[in-house]
Amino acid sequence: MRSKSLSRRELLVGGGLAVASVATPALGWTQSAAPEDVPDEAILIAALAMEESTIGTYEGICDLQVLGNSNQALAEQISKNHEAHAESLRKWLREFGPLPDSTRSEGRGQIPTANNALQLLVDAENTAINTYLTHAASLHYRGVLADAVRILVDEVKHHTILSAQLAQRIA
Amino acid sequence: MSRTSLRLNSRQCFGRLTGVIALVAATMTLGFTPILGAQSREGDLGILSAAAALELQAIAAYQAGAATGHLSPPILQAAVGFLEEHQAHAQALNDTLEALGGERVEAHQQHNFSALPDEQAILELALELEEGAASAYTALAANLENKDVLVAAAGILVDEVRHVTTLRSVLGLPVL
Repeated sequence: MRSKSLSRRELLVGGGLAVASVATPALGWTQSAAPEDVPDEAILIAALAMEESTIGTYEGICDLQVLGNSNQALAEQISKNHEAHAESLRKWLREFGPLPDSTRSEGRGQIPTANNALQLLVDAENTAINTYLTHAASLHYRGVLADAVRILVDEVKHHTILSAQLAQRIA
Repeated sequence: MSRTSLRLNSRQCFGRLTGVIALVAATMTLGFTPILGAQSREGDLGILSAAAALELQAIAAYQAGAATGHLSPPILQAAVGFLEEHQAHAQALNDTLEALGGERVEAHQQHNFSALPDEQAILELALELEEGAASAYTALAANLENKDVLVAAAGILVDEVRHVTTLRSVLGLPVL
């Protein structure tokens, strides 16, 4: 039992290490921030489109039922998180004016294996992380930025746990 | 000094953040409060100093945990990886402090982690410190005035959250 537990730890830790440098930008004082002249509304619209696309990806993959029971439940839970992110972004956009048309897409075609599906979800989360990291410094309002940071934290959790699940399957 | 002492030290570090977080709490409710740009250097310096202190404590904890001999090879490998990231964070934060005209934060030599009896205890301690750091960065990021500092802090936050998520997974705790 002990060795089984350690084995699981090995796999999870391996997954954690495997994603160590995926999304983290170089650190340092000299790194340039993103351009500052983009209005918050434009960034929110782009973030909402990304979240809606991500939700579409999750829903499409969940519909295909290729992930297996535990990862299916995980994907459904993460999809709900993305729904909450989208609603948070819509809340801010309503302060600026009418909401943009939804860009949500349906269906992912044929995805042959759970590994392919998990990789697609990992890629979607990586895109989400980079979206928030790239644009956070361009935001002008503290409340919007605080929400963006909270969403970024969620995206990193998603990316880490999905990467670990993928690493576990590959191992 | 025991693990309890470490926790006290940890709380002392968090105490340094308390004032900053309290100051921040009011602004968090002001959604349309504008970010001023590099006009509040002192506020950024306080946040950066507290963050550097947390990073140095995490470095000390991982070094002590690795030195116990209790960690299995894959966990040790992960701990060393996390340690190296914290070292990079501390270096970046101290370089930034210096660039902003502040003082570098030095490591304390008073930590003693010898009471950590096994791998589980080390992982739980690491998680406690990582969750504290992640919470601090999450709460304070929106209150940084300097955009370059914000970009760097957001990158560090990504690492901290990844550490927390990995440790929680390994410990069998919920991650979402």
